[in-house]
Amino acid sequence: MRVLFLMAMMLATTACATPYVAVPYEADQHNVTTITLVENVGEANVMAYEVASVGSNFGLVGALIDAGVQNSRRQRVSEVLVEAGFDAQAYFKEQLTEDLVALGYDVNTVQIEGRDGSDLLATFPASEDSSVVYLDTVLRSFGFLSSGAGTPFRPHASAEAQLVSASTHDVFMKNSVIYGGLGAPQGHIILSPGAEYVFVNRDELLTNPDALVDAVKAAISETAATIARLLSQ
Amino acid sequence: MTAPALKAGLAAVALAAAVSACASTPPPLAVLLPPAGPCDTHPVLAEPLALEAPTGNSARRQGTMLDATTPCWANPESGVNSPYVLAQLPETEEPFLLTVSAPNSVLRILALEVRMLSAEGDTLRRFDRDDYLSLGDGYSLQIRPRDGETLILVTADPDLVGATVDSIHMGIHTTTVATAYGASNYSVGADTAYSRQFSYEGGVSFQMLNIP
Repeated sequence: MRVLFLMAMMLATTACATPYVAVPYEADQHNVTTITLVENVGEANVMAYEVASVGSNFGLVGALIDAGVQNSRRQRVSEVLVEAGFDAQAYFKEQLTEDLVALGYDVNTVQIEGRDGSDLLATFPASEDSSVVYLDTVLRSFGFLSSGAGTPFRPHASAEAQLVSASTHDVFMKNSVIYGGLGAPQGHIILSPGAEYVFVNRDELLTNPDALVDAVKAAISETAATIARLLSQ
Repeated sequence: MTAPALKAGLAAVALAAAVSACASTPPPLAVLLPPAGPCDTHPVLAEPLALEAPTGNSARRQGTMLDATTPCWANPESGVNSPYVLAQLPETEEPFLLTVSAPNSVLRILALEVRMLSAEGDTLRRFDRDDYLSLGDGYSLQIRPRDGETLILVTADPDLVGATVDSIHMGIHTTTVATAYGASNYSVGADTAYSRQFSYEGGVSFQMLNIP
């Protein structure tokens, strides 16, 4: 899944890729005061991926060795986060809720089944209450990315969101945010990774668990804050 | 010709060759001063840049520059002159997403300010600074045009000019190399820090995409 995501991201950076089609939120067109946040934000696992690694440039044998190296690194980063008691999905929801409340929204939550992987929901339960709007979000990926051998690991997160009327199912807002991504995919909101969060190699990434957790938190909280900002009134 | 003169001549030729080989146009710097004028007191509505309607899933992109050759507008609100470009939306029944962008240059970005105007040139909609986003490879605004909005006025925001945006760009470069067994691709990572300043001058692009 992570490799597929990266391939999609690399494809999206090419000139011929179809740009992401967003729906900008128009606060003056919608009288939204309460947001119902969908509880399930996907189940993405942490990534710690070096894109243009040495192994990936040397055919099948290189790719096999590379897969082992990449998986070992990802596993260690995952262990650090587990040892720190960090839950990325819970942190994302918590940050998003705080940011929405700070904007003046009342926020409640709802359980809606039917999430397919890290895609936005395709269907919503019917409601006759025109004041109900669902904020459906997915934390599509998080962790660390290095663009290639010899370049540092930087924190990464990406998320997608849509604001949907419960009564009409009209989409009031839809957008995609990428923090510390590869390239500049057209139509996605791009957030530059903070310069203070830089890890020159695997060792530096793993020797300071506090810094590792802080970096992932920064990526996720900036991503959540940007989604909330799209709903500024 | 004496030996020292020959050496000096060869050195001069070598130097000239080296300079010409390595010479390249430096990236433009941010322009931090407004146009001196005189400037139009109202944007001239004649001959706007005509934007073409998108077809299917394909994005329609058109671009231009705001620079010293562009007409300037004496903005009565800020009291500051700014170069401007006026574009005309296509006539289409299909809803579409308009993205107005100031593409990132190496050292500068246009201090993008967008207004939606009626056919008569009246301002129908302005946007908060928070509405502008870093989208793809530029500083951008996403708009769903509304009824009556016919023209797009793009200027530079004097309050934004001079502000600096620091960013880190991660990417990969792929080179195709010939081997005894055929062509092979080799990719390397790139991790580059940029510091760009908002400018009175710079590129602007209009992208239109049908909303599915």
